[in-house]
Amino acid sequence: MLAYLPEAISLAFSWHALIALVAASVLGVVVGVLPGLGSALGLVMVLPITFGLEPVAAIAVLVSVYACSIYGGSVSAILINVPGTPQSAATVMDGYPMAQQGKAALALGWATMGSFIGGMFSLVMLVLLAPELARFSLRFGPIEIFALILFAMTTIAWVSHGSMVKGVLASLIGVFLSFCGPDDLTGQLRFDFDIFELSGGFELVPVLIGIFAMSEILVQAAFMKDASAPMVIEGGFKLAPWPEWRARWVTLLRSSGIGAFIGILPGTGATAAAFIAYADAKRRSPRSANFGHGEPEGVVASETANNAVSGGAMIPMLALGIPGDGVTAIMMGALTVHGIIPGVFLFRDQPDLVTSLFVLFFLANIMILVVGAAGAGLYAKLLQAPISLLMPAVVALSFVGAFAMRTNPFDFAVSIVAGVVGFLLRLNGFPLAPIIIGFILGTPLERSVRQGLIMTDQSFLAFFNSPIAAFLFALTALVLLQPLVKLAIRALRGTSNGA
Amino acid sequence: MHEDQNTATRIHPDFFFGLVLLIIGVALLWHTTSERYDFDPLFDDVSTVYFPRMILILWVALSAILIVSGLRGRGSEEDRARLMAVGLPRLFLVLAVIIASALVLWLTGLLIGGPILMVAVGVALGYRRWVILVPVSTVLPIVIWFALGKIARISLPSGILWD
Repeated sequence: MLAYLPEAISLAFSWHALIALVAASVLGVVVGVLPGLGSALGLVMVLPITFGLEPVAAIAVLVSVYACSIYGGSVSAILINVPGTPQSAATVMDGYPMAQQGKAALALGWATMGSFIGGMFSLVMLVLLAPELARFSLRFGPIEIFALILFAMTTIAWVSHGSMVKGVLASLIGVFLSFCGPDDLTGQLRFDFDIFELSGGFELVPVLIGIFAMSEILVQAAFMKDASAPMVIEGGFKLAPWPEWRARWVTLLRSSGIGAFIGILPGTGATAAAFIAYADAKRRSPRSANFGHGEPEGVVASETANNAVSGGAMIPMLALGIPGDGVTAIMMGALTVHGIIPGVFLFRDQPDLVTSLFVLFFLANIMILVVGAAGAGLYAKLLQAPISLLMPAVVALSFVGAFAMRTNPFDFAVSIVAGVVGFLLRLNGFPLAPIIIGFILGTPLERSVRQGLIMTDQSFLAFFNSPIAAFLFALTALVLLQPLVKLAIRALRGTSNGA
Repeated sequence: MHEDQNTATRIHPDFFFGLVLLIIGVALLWHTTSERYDFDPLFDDVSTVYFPRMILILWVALSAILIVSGLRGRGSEEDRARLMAVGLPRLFLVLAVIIASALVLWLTGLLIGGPILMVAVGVALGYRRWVILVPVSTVLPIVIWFALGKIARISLPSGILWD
């Protein structure tokens, strides 16, 4: 990777990539700050913007919105007691009490530095681990790829919010959507129901827009309360003195590690990482009694961990082509649109672009500091904007994005129908990320299983001859049987208690 | 009578979602038996509907589990409460406005349809400050048209009425 660094730096520092990076960083922080938007919606909104950009500028937009939107969520958590993104939910617990005590600027300073350090730590992990994982995955044939995707999808469905049955069903819906159109191996049309527009299958972008953006608009409409401006505490930006940082460096480091590690795991995500890091910091800190009453360490733990997830989550996405959550699924879809296919061969075939992505991710994390410090005075004003004024812009951008892919008005309909379906599923507690992950991974999953079956003369048992696949199948079985194992343990404990 | 009412209220919404998914799953599974999928000389055993069938069988089985657990009243109370809290009038209004806006956008293009769409969605969502809504709704489509259409050269809805 080092050999490509000069070329990557020259690509990343081209004027169009830098403009894209700065603009997207500001936009990323804004969508993070505004409750109801968030990282996924932010990425969906910028998708049409990336269509007209060079691949490097498109990467700049995507990584900046991703990293900066996670940070942006902390601002509203601190200033109005409402996390701008779910990832910042844990920040509310100490961030808002700090703001109430007149330390909003200090809390924003801790959050900004924590996010920056977490992001940088995860970048180091990304640079060190992703190429190694990609190199290892070159040993993967169709059977191993099938086992890997199966394991990833099962895990994502398992750890998704709500019941596992709903998580797996959501994945299956996504996988089924990927079947519509021409068969990947034979070219034969499937599930087009004699509708001409379906003969090419579903485009990812309208489905993404429908599932994430349109469903969000319908959720806002269904649960909208009377619009009243939130109570906003004035912000600002102030860094704590060095001795206070020195007292908390262990938390910074440990939360970074927790975030990066959880990011690598499929399906867990930044929200869980932030809560785990918060709980860990509270347990170990000598100031644990102050947690929940405005302890900066709580803000540091949560914000460091949630930003550290970003680099970690990109490791399996870039190296294996397996997105770990909804946000990385959108990123992966957007990269695919630009001809950058994450997966085994990306590091071998496009090392310059991968190295550029690392450089741009580094710059995006620097932009967290710049935008965080420079924009601090404007956040209070931004937070006064009602959601009913923002949502029309989301609808307009969504339609533009849905149409731009293949200039087909049928995709308007696809995005609306996907929005209604996504809304209904959300209402009943179905997670949405597995749908998109299933849709993205459906084609490689089917291709690998069919190729594997052809290789083994239709013997599923022969799949277990591969040690890697057998190991992954065993992990998948463990995940699937986990509810039964829990039941058995409970029953055993009950018996021993009774005895 | 009382028992019937209790049974009715005990049923979790999972039952209805499961039922709908089961019907869709069975219909799609039935579709895979269509004769259009019969001829596949190259991949006779691992045919074009081989994997979709596996997925759909799993789909149907999981839908059945959802039906049974919903029928027994098992399921998240949070989900039930969420369903009860939906504000239907505004939801249908916004949905109707979105569908109508898509039509207007398709017919008239971004520069005319965009402002109509944004004002209509804003009003449907309850925003009434016209001095802000109208200028924002007018300016944003122009910005999108210029930035995406002219600079980035992305295809935007231009309106079939004018094509």
